Amino acid sequence: MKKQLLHVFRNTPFGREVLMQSAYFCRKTDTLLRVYIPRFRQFLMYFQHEIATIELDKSFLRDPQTAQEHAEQIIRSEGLKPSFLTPKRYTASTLPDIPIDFDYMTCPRSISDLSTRISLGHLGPKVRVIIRNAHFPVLIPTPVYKQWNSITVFFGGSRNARKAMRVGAELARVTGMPLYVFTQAEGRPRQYYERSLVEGGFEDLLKNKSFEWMFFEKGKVRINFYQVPHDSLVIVGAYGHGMIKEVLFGSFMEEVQTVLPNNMVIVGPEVAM
Amino acid sequence: MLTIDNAAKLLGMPKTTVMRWVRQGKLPTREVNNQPMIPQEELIRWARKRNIFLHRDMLPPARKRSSKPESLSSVVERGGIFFNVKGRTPTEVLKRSAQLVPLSPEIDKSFIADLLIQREKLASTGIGKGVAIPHPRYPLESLEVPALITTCFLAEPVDFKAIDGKPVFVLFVLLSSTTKLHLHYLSRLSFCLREPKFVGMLSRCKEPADLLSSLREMETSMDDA
Amino acid sequence: MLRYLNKLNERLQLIFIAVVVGIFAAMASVALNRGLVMVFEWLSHFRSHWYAFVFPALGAALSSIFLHYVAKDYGGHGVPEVIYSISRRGGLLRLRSSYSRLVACLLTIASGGSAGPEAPVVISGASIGSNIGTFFRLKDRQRIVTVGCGAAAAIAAIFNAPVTGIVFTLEAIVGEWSPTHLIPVSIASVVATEVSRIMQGNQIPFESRLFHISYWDLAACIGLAVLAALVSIILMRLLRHLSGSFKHLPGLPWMRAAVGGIIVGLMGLILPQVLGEGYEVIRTIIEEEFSSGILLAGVILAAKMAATAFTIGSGGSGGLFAPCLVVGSLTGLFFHQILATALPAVNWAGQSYFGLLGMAGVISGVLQAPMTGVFLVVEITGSYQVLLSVVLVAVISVTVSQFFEPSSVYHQELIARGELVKPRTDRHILSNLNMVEILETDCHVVRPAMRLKQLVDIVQRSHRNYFPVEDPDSGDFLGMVYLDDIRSYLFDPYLQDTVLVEQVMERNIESVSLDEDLERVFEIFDRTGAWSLPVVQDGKFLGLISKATILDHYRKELLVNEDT
Repeated sequence: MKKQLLHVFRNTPFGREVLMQSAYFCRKTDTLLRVYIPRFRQFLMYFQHEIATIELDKSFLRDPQTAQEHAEQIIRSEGLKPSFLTPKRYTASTLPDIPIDFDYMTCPRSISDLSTRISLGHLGPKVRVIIRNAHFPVLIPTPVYKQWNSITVFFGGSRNARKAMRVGAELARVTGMPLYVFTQAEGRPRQYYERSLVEGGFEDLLKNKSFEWMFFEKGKVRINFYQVPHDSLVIVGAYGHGMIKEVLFGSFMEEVQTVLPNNMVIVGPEVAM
Repeated sequence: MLTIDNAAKLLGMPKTTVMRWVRQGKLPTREVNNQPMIPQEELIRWARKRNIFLHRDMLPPARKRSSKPESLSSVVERGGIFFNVKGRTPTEVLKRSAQLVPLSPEIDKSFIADLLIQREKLASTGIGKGVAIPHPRYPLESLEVPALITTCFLAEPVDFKAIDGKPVFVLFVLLSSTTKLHLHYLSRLSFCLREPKFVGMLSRCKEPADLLSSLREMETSMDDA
Repeated sequence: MLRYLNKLNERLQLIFIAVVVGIFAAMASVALNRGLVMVFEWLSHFRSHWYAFVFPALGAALSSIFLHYVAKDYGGHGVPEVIYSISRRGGLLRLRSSYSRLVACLLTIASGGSAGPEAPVVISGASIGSNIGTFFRLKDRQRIVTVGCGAAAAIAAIFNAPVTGIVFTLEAIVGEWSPTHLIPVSIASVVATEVSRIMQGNQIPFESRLFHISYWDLAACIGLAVLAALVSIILMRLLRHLSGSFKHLPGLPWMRAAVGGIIVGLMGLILPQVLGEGYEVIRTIIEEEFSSGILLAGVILAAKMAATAFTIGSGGSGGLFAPCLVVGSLTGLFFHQILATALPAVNWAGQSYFGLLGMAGVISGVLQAPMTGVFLVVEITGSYQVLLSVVLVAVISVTVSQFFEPSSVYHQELIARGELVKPRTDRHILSNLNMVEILETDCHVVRPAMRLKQLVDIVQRSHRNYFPVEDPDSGDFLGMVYLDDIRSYLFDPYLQDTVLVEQVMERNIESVSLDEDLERVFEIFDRTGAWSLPVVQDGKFLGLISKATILDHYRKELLVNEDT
């Protein structure tokens, strides 16, 4: 069955770039692009343990007359068929419920605050709520349209990193792009990471050397990040170690999203293995 | 503990359905490492209460159930060998024999007797040469063990209306959890009974050890063949 | 502790959580109650001034501004949202709902808007219940129970009426009387009542005296019931009508609320009885101190209904319980005045008695929940001796009201959206199943240019009677080949080589998409008489759904839903 990506369209130049990113992703991965053009300031996503109330910033509702037309243009220019999502359910008459049975969702770095705050190192609170709850990976594109030609998975050996690996391997398979794996050994031997890969069911990849392993035993992560190709789609797992440690020490995902300007796919804790 | 995948196979339902049931709290669930797992025993109890069929052979080899069935002799050993079982009609001896089946005390043995008698009414299980292999009509899914055979030498021969008309002097009560095992042991037993040597041994048999050793011997020749 | 709790038996676990929910929901109720009294007293110093008529407008506007800009809660009045959450969303409610309506309704009511504190308290309590349930990592089925606990606790605490809380929740919110619900809900209700009694004393809000009820009174009950039903129908229609027309007004929501508020404020200038929750009116009627003629009673009744409809219809925040009670007591009063004038010779049981019955009649008629009306009235007036008449009025009122308005105010909106799914119904089961689960993907796809001979090969390997045809280039779905249609010439060797699949396939086939509701799918099944339908999304064939598979899943779903 064809996979589906959910995109919330905003009818602004910035929104155009973001939609172009989604369209590029969908074309490369043969995914169906489903676009929601908001009609209300809020929508709800009923996740398993939490309702995410997404307050959109005002620019999402701008000029609704041309929104559909603009979106169609962008989608067709990537050679895809437009498919729009109309919410079927409403919690209240001005509060639509957006379904969650997608395989990916595109979020700009911030969805609720003004779209000017799209700098690196900032992920809006609502985007975090989605990442924390969604069973699908979230695509966070660069603010300006940028194509990517390879996939880089950040692999730190944890369970969540294995999820990221699975997503990355799958994307590399469908796109036919080269796969890189970035590992910063935090004092652990290489065997540890190899064993984790085997446990995660990536034995074949490891044996056939289907990916190029950027394995760093030395140096600071932030400096080694420079080795990540600029035109690579970065896959990173979020919230691998339990919330308290994350809050205190920050997570690897935060590190990545603060430093790397690449297109990113964040694999949250609820994504199935 | 079963993963969602295994539980889905066991229930014969798509994974999405099982995941929804877990979310809705309809299935007994435990969280292990933040992943929902389903305790196997609770699931079995849960399914039985609701009359939901489980595809038991889909179970993962949790209890190390080897793919090759156990040998005939060990199944016979498990079932026990009894001598001098009294009774004058098939029903009587079946009732007695059922009481001898070594199952945990909670299990109502008369239930097993009923199953055997029911089957006997359909057609005789006497397969000739004075031997009968009583068994229930359906495999006993709830059986604690894969299979067992309880051997009962009768105090006096009983007319089972066997194919060759000969009165029966020994019963092999065969209980199994799947049809596959049932057929397996049935065919093995009948192979043995085709050997005059084995039948001769049966008619002389006084000690359990005699039967078991003879069975082991037969089985090695069967496996070699 | 969390881990320990999770090991407990499911029922014990729910009982424990019910206690926690009861305490918190009761505190929310008490806080609102205290807040109302405080703000009301503070405002009463200014009420005598000429500009007092703008208070309701100000309050309504502030309440709307608070909802939209501070709490950012775009939800409606509350109770329908709770019912929706229970019926479709596994009891999930947003945390912000636990306080947003409380503040909003405090502003609306204390400033004089004609509404009651119950609906806000219900959604707050329900949201507290839902979030506590989520905190304890409950699953949907159990969380629904904790939502019910929260709602029951809130009602119980605010009216000091435990049984009403239980009955209202089971009758109007959960819609199901099963032991799994009854026990935790009752416990939460009792705990909440106790907490509220500790914090603000055990008072019966409207204590009534003893009545001497004659057969005449019982006979009159029937007339009152019919009148109460009519009043409830008018009130419901007025509400619906006004909220409809206010939605079409231009301007921001808070401006609309202010317009409604001004109208209510102006009414209040002439008839101050219509302002606020209006419990003072009920008290004077129950204590037989309300002196007015038929005409005045009628006018106040009409004005109160209009004020309520304007307050709530314009977007003010508040519930219907209190206005219904006031309208009901006025209805009773009005009816009593008519009786007393028409048949002065009879020694009637008094305006208190009829006021009380009127309350039960209107509340049952509007909520279409007779037991809730009965227990509410009996508990808040402490008069169990009138139980018989109250039941009579409530039941007749519901019957008449249902004749004109088939569903209650709470359900109307949900029914219009098709979102009301009563537990243990066919719809409930169908709504659980979704298309992905029943999709059969083990189909052999054929191409239009295939010869019949090749098709025969595929037929031999397949166990199905239907074969989807796809365009080899675009992958688009073109149609289906039905084995039944071609069986007769399938084995004709001459035809096998000359006929192509595209010549025998059916092109105009109804298909369904993945996000279709199963109910709709069944409509198509019924209409076309088909046994299975292709599922097509964006032109691509995804699989088949067939009645046989649905039956299998349907049955499993029924079995799984059984409580044992």
